[in-house]
Amino acid sequence: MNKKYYIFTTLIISLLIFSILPISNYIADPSRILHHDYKTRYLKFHPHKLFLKVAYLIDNKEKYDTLVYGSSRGGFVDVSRISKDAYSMSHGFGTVTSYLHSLKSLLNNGVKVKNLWIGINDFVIWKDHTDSLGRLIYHNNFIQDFELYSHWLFRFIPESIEILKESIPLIKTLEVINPQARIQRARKQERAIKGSKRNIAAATLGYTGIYRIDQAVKEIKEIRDLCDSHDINLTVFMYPTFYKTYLAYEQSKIEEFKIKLASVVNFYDFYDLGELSTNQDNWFEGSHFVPSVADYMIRNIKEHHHLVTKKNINERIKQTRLCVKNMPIVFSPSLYTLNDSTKLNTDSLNIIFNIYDQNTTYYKNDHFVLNKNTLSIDALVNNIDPMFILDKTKSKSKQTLLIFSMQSNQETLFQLYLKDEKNANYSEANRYNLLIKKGINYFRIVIPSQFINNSLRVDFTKNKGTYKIKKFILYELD
Amino acid sequence: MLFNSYIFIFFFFPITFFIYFYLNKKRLTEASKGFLVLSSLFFYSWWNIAYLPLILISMLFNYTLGRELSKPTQSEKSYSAKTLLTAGIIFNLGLLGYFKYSDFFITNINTAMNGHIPLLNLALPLAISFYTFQQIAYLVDSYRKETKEYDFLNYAVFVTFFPQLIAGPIVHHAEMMPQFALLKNKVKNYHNISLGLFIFAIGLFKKVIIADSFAIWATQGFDVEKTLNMLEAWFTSLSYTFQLYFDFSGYTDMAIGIALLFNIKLPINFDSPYKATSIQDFWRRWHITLSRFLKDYIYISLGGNRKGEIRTYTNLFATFLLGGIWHGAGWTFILWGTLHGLALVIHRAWQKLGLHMPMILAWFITFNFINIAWVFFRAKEWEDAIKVLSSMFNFDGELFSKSKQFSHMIHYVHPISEYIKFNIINYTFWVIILGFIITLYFKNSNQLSIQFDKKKTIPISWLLFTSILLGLSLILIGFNTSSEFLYFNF
Repeated sequence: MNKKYYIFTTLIISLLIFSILPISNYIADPSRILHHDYKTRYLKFHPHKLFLKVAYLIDNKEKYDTLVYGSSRGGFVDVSRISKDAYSMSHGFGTVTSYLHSLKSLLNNGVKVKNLWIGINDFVIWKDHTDSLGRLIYHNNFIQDFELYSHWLFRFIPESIEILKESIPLIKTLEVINPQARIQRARKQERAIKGSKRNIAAATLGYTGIYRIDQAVKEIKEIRDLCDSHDINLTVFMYPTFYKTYLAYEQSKIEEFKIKLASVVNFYDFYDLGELSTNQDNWFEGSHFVPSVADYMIRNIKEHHHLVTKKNINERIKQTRLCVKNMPIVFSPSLYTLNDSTKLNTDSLNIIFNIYDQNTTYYKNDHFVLNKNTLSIDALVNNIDPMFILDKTKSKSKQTLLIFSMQSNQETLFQLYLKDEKNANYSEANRYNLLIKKGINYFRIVIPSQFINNSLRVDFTKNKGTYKIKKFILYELD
Repeated sequence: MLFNSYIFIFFFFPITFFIYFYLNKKRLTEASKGFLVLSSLFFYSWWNIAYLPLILISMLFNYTLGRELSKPTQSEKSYSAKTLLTAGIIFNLGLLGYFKYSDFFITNINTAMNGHIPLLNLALPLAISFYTFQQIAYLVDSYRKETKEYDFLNYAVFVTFFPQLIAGPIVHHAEMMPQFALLKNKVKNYHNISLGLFIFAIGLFKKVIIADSFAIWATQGFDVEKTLNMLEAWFTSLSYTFQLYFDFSGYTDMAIGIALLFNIKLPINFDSPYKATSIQDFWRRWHITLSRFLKDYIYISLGGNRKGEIRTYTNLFATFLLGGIWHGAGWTFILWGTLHGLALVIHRAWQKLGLHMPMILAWFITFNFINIAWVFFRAKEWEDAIKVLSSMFNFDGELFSKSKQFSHMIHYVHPISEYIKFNIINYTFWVIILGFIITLYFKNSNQLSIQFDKKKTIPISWLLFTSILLGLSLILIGFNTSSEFLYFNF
């Protein structure tokens, strides 16, 4: 055959072979995005709830006038208590980014909205969805739609192969058409757990120690502006969180978020260490509250209680701090990091632990290897969460000073896990975080000695890689 | 933008191709050239637009200096020409050094003097090592009065032409500029298009299917596993040896194929390097355009073999040491360059002595030397290199580990391994055997393209061969959407 014919035939045959990929993805369509199908799902796989809810509302433009946004926690909000024409837009790991994108899609496609309720999680200040196509939905312009559909068509999706290989059938679902159906089940579950003795652990969701407070506030401002321009009543409220989860987070960052949020929009704040947070009966686990907590929030919002504005935000912050102080659970790590200007002469202090000391003993897990050099110790981390526990180190003083210096070629977290009692377990709630930056890091941390004597656990990084530990010394203070 | 991405294959390339030839068809040749430069800069900026000013400044500076250097000079002005050239080389090497080697120096100073100078943590601008070398060659040739009166647009096409911009082949202005000027190259040529498509399909297959499969084992062995038994260590090093070849030669094939579609012939960069029977032979077959640059602009500039035997050895060694440093800022690269420099010195001395070696033995020694030296090239830290090498020669240890490493590695074999269960030992063994067969027994892409070129009509079998390679590779791109080429790091 001649070369012109060769070129065209080659292109056609290779494209036919290649088309196996999008065709199989289209036929299987585990997310149900490609079929815009909100009536059926595969039992084994989660459909893309947010996308399908938007598709459903675009097909039913005037059915509801109130939308109630939220993350999976919002799935336990009985929206019929807000309005009989309310629809729950809750979706797993919902952030203001996904709220904003989907709201734009709805408004651009002519969906009528009169009231918008937005439930905000603490994790919106660190969880970033901007690079996660799986979380975003588009109906705004051709390029965005193209990006979304090509993501689901031209990519190897293991679920597609499993569906085709095992001929998994589709089943009918009401998840999108009637999200309220699950509330009745949740109320039954709530009754079942009431008064039961459970040890609920903290649930820290994708906490990285890297924040996006300004972006989150900017997105909320954009939602506010959209509401203003479309004559929509906006109600913003912040969910409560379980006390152990609350304590695991850097509250100064949450406070910063609240202050910035109040400068943009009034909101109802249920995020503190009050009764909602500390009563175990209010929680299925460390993340999701029970429906009666949602009922409480709706009632209080309707009566304008818990309202935070520009004017009272500082008072509110004071109140939440007081909650910490007065809370019935006694936990106050009271660790602090000395800043650079604090002078401290360590010459006269007694060293109780030095990683360079040949006789030093401690427990370490096998997620890393330490190679001692003259000037530094190379820590080769081959698995996540490398840790050592200073189980043989005791401090006779009230406070202990930890001087730690490490060279890192990536941003990561340095974490100390603290135990109040010798026999307690290490918990996410009892944790002290410091951000490790690229380059050389140097910290001086003052630690109450009870935590040293109860076997301090040190996770010097969260990530795999090679680090140089230049100093790790504990001194008895005073 | 990667050659092995849908955005390149289905959008960037076809759009650029059709607009370029459309402009030429309308006899807007300068506009077509300008369009090619803009497209190339867009292609370059796709990764990070922050690098764009750097390449523009570098181009403008070198073009202006080259023009100045190429002007006829009076003898009394020759000193200033030399000064200009020196300044130009210092500028280029300074730029490269600042981005590529600053942190390496700071780290070493900190280690030697127990200092705490913070690292700059600069991101290495893409392609800087390649376009810097091309432009240094241009400056040197301008100084030697070997360049012609190029206008800036021609010069910009030469530097930025997207098929070779990111990772070579390192082209010479004398072989590129005339091709861009040739009128017959401005018309679509179905012969070149068919040949280009053929070479591109081979390159894409090499990268997406062969190199990326070897990468899984190499990454596991070098970066993840703490300990390796002897067999795993050999699988790790051989996997990387094959990965690097198929990755880089695959990239080069794609670059050559794409350039051919624009009627531009890029120089070949590989000629079955693992068939080499000596280290000198290897460097005539591996990254040929780098070897050419090192020879023309470093080895010969140092005096080559014209200043006696000892100086020849020193020059050879220095050239390859610099070659090692060019590849990356790290002691492992320096050691890799040193090893190759020493091997070339030993080879030359061996030749001087007039000694002979059976072909098979010569191949065996060469291949193993290259394979072992690649361990230093690949390792991120000394410890990684030592881990692999010590396990490769740990005759006291066990050949097969008692641990469950093999069984847990199955998850890393290939994304489709979830669905098609492999016996991991057999799988890796046969893949490595296949690597040997392809590199040693099969014709390489240059030989195949020569064969293709000679055919007036294409047999059906060749059509099917190209279509299947291309079709399968396109599917596999969907399996692994972010697989960069290894030489992008250099």
